[in-house]
Amino acid sequence: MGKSSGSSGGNDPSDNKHEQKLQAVLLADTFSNSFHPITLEDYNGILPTSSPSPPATDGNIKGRERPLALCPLNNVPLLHHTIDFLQSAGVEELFLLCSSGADALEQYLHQHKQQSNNNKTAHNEHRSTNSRIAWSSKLTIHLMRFSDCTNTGDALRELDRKNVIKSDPFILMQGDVVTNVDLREVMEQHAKRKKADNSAIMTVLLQEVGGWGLDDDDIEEDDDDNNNMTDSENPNTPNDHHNNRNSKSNMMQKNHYLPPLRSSTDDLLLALDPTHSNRILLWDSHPHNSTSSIPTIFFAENSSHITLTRNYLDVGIDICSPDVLARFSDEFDYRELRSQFVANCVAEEEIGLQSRIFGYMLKRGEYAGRMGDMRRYHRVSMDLLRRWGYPLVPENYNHSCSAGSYHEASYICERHLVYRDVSGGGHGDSDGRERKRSHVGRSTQLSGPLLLGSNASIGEYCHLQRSVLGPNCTLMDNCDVVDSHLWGDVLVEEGAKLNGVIVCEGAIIRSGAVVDRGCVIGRGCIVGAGVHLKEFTRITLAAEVEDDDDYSGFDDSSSDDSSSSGSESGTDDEESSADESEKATPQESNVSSATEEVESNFAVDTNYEVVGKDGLGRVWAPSPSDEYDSDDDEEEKQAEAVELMKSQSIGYDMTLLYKKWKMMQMEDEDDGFSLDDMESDADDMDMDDQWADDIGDTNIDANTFSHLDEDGMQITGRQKGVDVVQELRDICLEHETSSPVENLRIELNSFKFSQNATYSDCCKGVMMAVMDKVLEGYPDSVPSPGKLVVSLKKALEYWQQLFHSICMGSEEEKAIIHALETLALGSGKAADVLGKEPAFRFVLQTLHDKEIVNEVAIFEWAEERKEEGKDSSRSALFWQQPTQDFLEWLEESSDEDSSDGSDDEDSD
Amino acid sequence: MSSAAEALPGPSITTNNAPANLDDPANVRRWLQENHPKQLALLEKFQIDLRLGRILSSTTPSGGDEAGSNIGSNSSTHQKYQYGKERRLVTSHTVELLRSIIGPTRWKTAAQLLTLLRGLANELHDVGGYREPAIGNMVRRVMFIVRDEADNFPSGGGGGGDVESKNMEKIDELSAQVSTKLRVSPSSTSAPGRGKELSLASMLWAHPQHVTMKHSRQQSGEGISDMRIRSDSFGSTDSGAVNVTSSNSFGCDTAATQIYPPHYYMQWDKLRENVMEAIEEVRGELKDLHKNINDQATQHIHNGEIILTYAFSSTVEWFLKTAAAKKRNFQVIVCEGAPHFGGHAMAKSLAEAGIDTTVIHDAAIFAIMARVNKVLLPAHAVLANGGLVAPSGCNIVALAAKQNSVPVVAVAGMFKLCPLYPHEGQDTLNDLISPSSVVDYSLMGDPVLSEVEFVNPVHDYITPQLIDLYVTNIGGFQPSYIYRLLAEYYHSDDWD
Repeated sequence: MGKSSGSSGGNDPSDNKHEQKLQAVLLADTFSNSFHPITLEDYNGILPTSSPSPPATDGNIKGRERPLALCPLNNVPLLHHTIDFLQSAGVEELFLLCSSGADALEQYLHQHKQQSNNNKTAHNEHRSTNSRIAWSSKLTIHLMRFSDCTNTGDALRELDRKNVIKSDPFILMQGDVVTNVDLREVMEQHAKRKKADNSAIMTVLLQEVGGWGLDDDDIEEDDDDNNNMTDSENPNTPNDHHNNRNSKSNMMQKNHYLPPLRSSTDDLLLALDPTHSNRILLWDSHPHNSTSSIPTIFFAENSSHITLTRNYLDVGIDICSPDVLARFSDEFDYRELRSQFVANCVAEEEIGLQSRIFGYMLKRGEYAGRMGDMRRYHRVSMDLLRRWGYPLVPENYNHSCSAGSYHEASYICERHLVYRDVSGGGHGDSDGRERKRSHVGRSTQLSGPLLLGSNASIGEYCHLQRSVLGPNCTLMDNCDVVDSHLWGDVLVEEGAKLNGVIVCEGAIIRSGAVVDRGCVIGRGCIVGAGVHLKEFTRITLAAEVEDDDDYSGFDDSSSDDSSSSGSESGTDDEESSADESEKATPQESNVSSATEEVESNFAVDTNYEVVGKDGLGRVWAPSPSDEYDSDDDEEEKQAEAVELMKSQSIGYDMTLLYKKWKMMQMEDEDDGFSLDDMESDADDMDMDDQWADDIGDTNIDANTFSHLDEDGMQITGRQKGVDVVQELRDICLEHETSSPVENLRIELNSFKFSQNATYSDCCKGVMMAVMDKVLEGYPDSVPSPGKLVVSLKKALEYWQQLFHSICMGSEEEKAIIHALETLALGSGKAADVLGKEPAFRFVLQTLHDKEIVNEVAIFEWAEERKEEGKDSSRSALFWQQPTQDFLEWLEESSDEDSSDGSDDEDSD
Repeated sequence: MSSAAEALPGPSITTNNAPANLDDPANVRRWLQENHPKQLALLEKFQIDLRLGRILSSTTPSGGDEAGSNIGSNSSTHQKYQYGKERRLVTSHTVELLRSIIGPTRWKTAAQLLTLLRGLANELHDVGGYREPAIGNMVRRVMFIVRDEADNFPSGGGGGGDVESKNMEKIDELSAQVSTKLRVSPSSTSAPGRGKELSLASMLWAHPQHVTMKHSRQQSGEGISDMRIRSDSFGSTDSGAVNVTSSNSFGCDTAATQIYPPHYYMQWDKLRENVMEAIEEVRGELKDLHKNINDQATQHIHNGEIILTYAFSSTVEWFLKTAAAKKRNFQVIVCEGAPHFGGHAMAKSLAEAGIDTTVIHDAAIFAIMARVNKVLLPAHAVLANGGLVAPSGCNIVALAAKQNSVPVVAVAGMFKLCPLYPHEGQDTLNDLISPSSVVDYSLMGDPVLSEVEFVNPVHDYITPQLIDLYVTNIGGFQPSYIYRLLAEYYHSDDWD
C-alpha cells in the first residue's frame, strides 16, 4: 500500500543537523526581586480564580510562588515565548533551572502537557521521572530544582555536577528574554569558531540600543591606542540628590534619552575586536565607578582595531560550550554569569589559559527584550504590540492563558494596533467579527497599542491606551486605563483610573479609585472605592517572606526588619500614614497588621488606610539588599531599596535616573572629589536655574567665587561650591616655610589636577597666600608701603622658586596681578594695605624686579583695564597715579634692557 | 469491506477517553501523536518554521531586509534557500510535508484522509499559514485530488449493486451514531451549536455536493445560498451518475451525519496509490512552473519595449531573463521598492543578464509611467475575484498604469490562486511587519518618537479592474476568468 512513495521522502525537513540533540538551559529564576511581590504570590495553578480567593494560607508557599516565567506577557506566559523561541532554534532538550516557584512551574508544565494532549498519551513516560516533561514531540523539558541556589553560579555548578549537558554548543538563556533572533546562524558561527579554536567557548548575543545617553564623542575619546583608560576612581553614592545640579543643564542642551530596554542599573562597557569576529576583550558592567583596563597584550595580538563601546545591551542569550560549566565548577566563588565569569574570562592575559568569548550583534529586524523589571516589562510588551518582534506578534500566539487554563485565542490587528481576540467568530469572515468575544462600548476610545483578551468587556466612555487586557477582564463605564496591564479576571468598576499599573489576576478596582503610576495590584487584591493609591505602591496578598532561604534573592541574612515583621510587629499607625503621604511607604509593612487584626480572615492583614475600607491587601515594601555590608544605617538602605523599586516600576521618569547618571559621569571626569554640601533647600529645578544663570551671565551677585566670574572664566568640570583659589591659598598657608618649597609645589600640583584647575588658579592662590604671610608680620598695625615692599621681598626669596615653576606664561602672571587686585579691592587688612596709593605700584614693581611678572603681562593687564574705562571699580588700581607712572616708565624702558634699568627708578 | 466499518469513527462522545480517530479535523494532532509521532514531528517543525517566518517568502521579508540588498550572504545561513525562490519553495515544502504525512500514515478511507488534510490545514493556518496563502492552496489542491480519486471509486470501480448494498448497511450503522456524532463533531469546529438540522430545501438538493456544501457552510457559519448556486454552476468536476443515484437513495441520512459522500467512507486499496501519484503530479507541476510561465515570455515582451516592474520577484526576474535570452531587446525600469529595496537586487540580477536596466525610486513611478509600454507585477496571491495581492507599493504602480493606459500584466504560478474574496479591502491577506526596516529601534528611546505609530504593511491589494492579464503556468487569463480556474483547481467544499 503506497509504502514506497511514503518512505522515499528524501529531504526530510527534520533531518538532524546535530548528532547530539541540541540542548538548552533556561535560567527560569532571575534571582532578583524586581517583580516582587508578584513573584511572591502563590501561583494558584490552573484554577481560574473568578472570585478573589486568597492564596492558601498555611503560611508556607515555598516552591509555589509564581515564577516570573509564568507571568503573562501579552496574555501569554513568558515561558511560552521562551520555549517557542528555543524550539524554533531546534532545541530538543531543555533544562529548566528553577529555585523559587519550582512547584508552580512543574504543575504548570504538567497541566499544559495534559491539556495540549487532551491527556491520554505519553503520560506513562513522564510519570516515571516527575521532572521530565515532553512538551512537544521534539522538545523534552527537564525541570531541575535547585532550591538552595541563590545565584546563577550555584545553579550552573549544580548543573555541571549532574553532568547532563552534552551538546556542544548548548544555549544558555535567561528566563526573562523575549526575542525573535535566529539562533541558527549564531550557532553556526560559534561552531565554526570552536572548531578552529578550542578556547572559543562562548558567544554572547548583544543588541545595539545606545548607551546611557553618551554622545559619540565621549566614546571616541576613549577609543585610542592607549591601553589604560582611566575613567576615574570615584566612590560616590549614586543616590545623592544634590548632585543633580551639574548634570541637568547638559542634558537639556543635548536632549538625550535613555535606551528604554536598559535597566536602571545596567551599564556595560565593552571592548570588541571587530577583526576577530567581535571577540570581547573587556566586559565591564560597572564602568562608571571604576577604572577599566585592557591588557596591552590584546593590542599586540589583536592587531589594529579595538572598539570600545557602551552601546550594546546584553541580550541574555549565550551559545556556550560545555566548558563553560566546567569553568564555573573550577571557579567555585563565581556568583554571576556576567559580571564575574565573563568579565574575568575575557580579561585573562595568558594565552594558554584564555577562554575566548565572542559577541554576536543582533541584526536589523531582530529584536530582543528583557523584562527584568516592570518598567521593561511594559516596554517589551508595547514593543511586541508595535510589532518590533515580528513575527512574534499577537496574531501568532496560538495560546492564551487564563490563570493556567488554556483556550485558543486568535487575535486580529485592527487599525492603530488594537488587537482583539476573535476566537469566537469565524476566521476571515466579516460577520464573525461582529460576534467577537471582547465587547467594547461604542463610546469608548481605544488608542495606541492595545491588546484585548478574549471575553474582555469594556463599558461606555472609557479611555484605553497602551495597555493589555487579559481574558475575562471587565471594565465598567468611564474607566481610564493607560499604560497598564490587567492580567485576567480583573474587574474595574465605574470611573476608576489606572495609569501605569500591573493588576494581577482576580483583582478588583472599585469604582472611583485612582491608581497612580508604578503601582502593582497583586493577585486577588481589592482597591476600595474612591481610594487614591499613591504612585509606586505595591499591594499584595502574599504573606511576608519569612526570612530564610525561602526566596533566593540576595537577601540571605535576616537583618532586614521589614521582611520578618509579618504579623506581630506593628505598633505605630501614625508613622505609616506619615510615610505614605510622603512617598511609597517604605516602612509600611512594619505596621501592616495591628489595628485590623479583628477582621483579618486572611493570613495577610490589610492596610485599610491604603486600600480603603472595602479593600483587601497589604502594602509591600522592598527589603534593603544586604549585598554589600556597608555601614549605612537601615533607613538609608531602605530608601535605596525603595528608590530601586521605583526605578523598576512602570512610569518611572527615567530622566531622573538620567540626571543622576549624568551627574556621576561628570564627577568621574573631574576626578573623585567629595562634595561640599550645597544649600540644602535648593531642589532640582532651583538648582537648575541657578546653574544656568551661572553660565549665562557673569556679573553675578557677590558670592564666594565671584572673582572667577569677574575674570569671565568658567571652569568646567568642577564642583560648584569649591573655591579653588581659596583652597589653594589655604594649602599654601598651611605649608611650613621650613620645609622645601618643592613639597608645596607637588601638593599644589595634585590639587590642581584633582580640580581641573589651571596654573592661573595656582598663581592666584599662591600670591594671596604670600600676601597673607607678609601681612602676618604686622599683626597690629597697617604697614606702610615701604615696609610692605621690604617684607615682601624677603618673603619672595622663599616663594620665588615656586612662582617660577608654576608661572608658564603671561596668562599666569596676569593672574598674579589679578590676585593682587582682588586683595586690594576686597576687604580686610590686605585691602587696607594695598589700597593705599603707592602700595600697589610698589608691589607690582617688586614682582617685576624679581622676574615673577614680566612687562608683557603687565602691559596686557594694563590694556584690559584701559578698555574698561575709568568707571569700572576694578580698574581703580590701574588709574592710580603711581601705577600710571610705573607703566609709563616701563613702556619706555621696555625697549632697553629693562631688568637693570628698573633698579634705578625709584619711587615718585 | 468489513474492515471499513472498523475504521469508521467510533461513538466517541468525550474525546478524551477514546483513542483519537480521524473523524474530526481537530483530532488530527492527537491522532498523529498516537499513531505517527514521526510525522507529527515533521509537522511541528514545519509549523515552527512557518510561525517564525523562517520559511521565507519574497514578499514577507521577516529577515528579508538585509536579504533584499545582499542575496548571497543570506543564502548560506537560511538553510539552502536562495532568496527569491521562497514562495515556490514554501509551496513545494508544503507538498513535501503533505506527502510525507499522508504517505506512511494509516488512514483508511478517503473521508479519513480528507479529515486529516483538513486538520493539517487548520494546524498550518493557525501557526501562520494565513500569511502564506500558498500553503492553504496546496492543501486544497491535494484535497481536490483526493476527492477526484475517491469519486472514481464507486462509479469507475464498478462495484455495482453489491457495493451499494454494502453501503446501505453501513449507512444504517452510521445513522445510529448520528446523535452522538452530532455532539462531537461540531465541538471541533469553532461554532458550537449552530445549524445542524437540514432544511427541506437542502434535502431536495439531492446532489451530494450540494448537500455537503450546505452542511459545511453551516458549520463554518457562513452564508449559504450564494455559495451553493455558484458551486452548482460549475460543478463540473463532480462525480458521475452512479453517485447521484446512490446519494438519492439515502442522501438525507448521510448528509446529516457525514461531511462527505458515502462512498468516501469505503476502503479502497488503490486510493493511496492514486493519491500519491497525483501528488507527484502536483510536484512536477511546481517544478515546471517557471518553465511554463517563461515559455510565454516572448509573447508578452517585444523588441524595443520599456517594461516597468516593482521590487523583487523571482518569477518576474526569470520571465524577463527568458525574454532576454530569446534575443528580445528591451529596457526594464525597476522601482526600488522601499523600505525593503528588493528592486536593487532585482536590478543587479537583470543587469547581469545583460538587460538594459534602470532603477527609479518609488516616488518617480507616476512620472515615468508615460514612457512605459508594459507593467509587470509580481504576485503574492491571486484572489477569487481576480484581484491581486502584491508587494506593498504595487497599487501605486497599477493606478499609475491605469492613468496612462499602460497594460498591467501580473505573473503568477497557479498555486497562488486563492479561493478568497477580498472582503477586507487593503487588509486582505495583509500583514504588518516589524517597523525596523522603516525606523531604527535605537531611536525608540525618544519618548516622543516612541509614541509615533510606524506601520509597515507588506502587501497591497489591487482590484481586478487594474489588472489586464494574468500570465500563469497554464496560460494567460483575464481577471474575470479567475473564478473559473478556481473550480478547476479546488473543490468548492474545501474553500474555507
